[in-house]
Amino acid sequence: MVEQLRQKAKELLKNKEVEVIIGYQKSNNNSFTTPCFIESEDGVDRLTWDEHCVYNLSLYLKEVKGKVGVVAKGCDVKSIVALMQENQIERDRVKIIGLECQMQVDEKGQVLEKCRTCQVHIPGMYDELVRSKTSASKIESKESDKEYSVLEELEAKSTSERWQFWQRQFEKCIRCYACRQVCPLCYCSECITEKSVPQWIFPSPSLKGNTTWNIVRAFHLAGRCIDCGECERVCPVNIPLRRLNKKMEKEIQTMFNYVPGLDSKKKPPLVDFRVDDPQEFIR
Amino acid sequence: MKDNRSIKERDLGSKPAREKVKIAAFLCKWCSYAGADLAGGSRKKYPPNVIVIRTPCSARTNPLFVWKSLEKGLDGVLVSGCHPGECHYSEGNYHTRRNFAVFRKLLEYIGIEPERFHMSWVSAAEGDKWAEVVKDVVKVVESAGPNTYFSKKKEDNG
Repeated sequence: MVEQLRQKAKELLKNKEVEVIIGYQKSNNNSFTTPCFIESEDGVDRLTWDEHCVYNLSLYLKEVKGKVGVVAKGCDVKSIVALMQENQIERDRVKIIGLECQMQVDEKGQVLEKCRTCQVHIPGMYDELVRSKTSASKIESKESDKEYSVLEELEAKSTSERWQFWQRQFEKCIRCYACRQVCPLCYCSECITEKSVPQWIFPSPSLKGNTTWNIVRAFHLAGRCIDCGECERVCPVNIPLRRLNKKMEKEIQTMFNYVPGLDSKKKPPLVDFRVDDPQEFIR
Repeated sequence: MKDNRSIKERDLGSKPAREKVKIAAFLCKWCSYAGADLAGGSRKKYPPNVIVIRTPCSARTNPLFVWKSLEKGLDGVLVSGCHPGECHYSEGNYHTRRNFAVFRKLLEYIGIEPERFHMSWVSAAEGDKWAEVVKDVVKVVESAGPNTYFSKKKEDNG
């Protein structure tokens, strides 16, 4: 599979279809890989692929100018689609080398939460596809691995228990903004948390400011987040951010029947409307 | 036993707790604001707990305004705009509706009582409805009690 990947990358660079390829390379630690940028044919041997390739490389697409090739898993392709929906990247500038993905694992070797319910082992959009030897459809899915099962525990709690839970989580936040930096969809050139006139979000780590920051981020990603799970992975204090984003995804799916990252022609749900949207909560 | 507290502190201690709830009302200037004005003009009686904030359109009410009101200690928030199909800017209130349909779910999930956030459609001719809406909303917010989300924490000044 790695050989195939290198071959395709080499062809793209040789035919001058792309100027740079964004991919994964081995690091000095066996339990994770790092992103790499390859500009010449002899560099393609650095490319690698295994279950430790967890990064969402679509993050770099906006920053790299010119024609660019990107190595992408199914979930990464979803974020590329979302970026196209919002006119952030042009389709003809990007060559997608899709990878048939199995289950990715974290540094401890545990299968990632998002991979257990993954529907897109084969990317929904690609220019080249590298298939894997073992078909992903063979991977058994357990009954407990339903799409939104991660939310059930919290949803069953009472309102005040949930408040306690989230306050305990947000209390830990050190406002490093790693969640924002790693998010492919957090591309605002000026983030609201950096605005000082008016100051919406108190900038130092404090319970109030942390709560506001996390609410603002969750709502800004509502209907856009494609659940790559990167924010939760990079969070140094382990706030379960995915449970926030997943909840928004669930509500939007039930109310507006919209799943993000599948159709680049569709409008994102919160800039769109239907005349018969639900309004039973309005007096 | 001698009371060591200063006069100011003793005063504070003896003050009764705030009884009335405070509610921020974000009203669209083309309909609900005029509706509230009409209610006043025709001397309708309704509770004085709402603080009216005029917005150019209900869609101007960013969900962040709602959260900020709660964070600052208000007990409830009411967002009101034109009936669907009657927006001055033709589709603003449809966007409001979608935004808040999602945002109220987020508030609930974070642990804010659903009793604290309300939305209504009130047109410029519906002074009566405005008075009714406020009466209802005040009653429901009172049932949730005063906002104590951040009151016990002192380290914050944000």
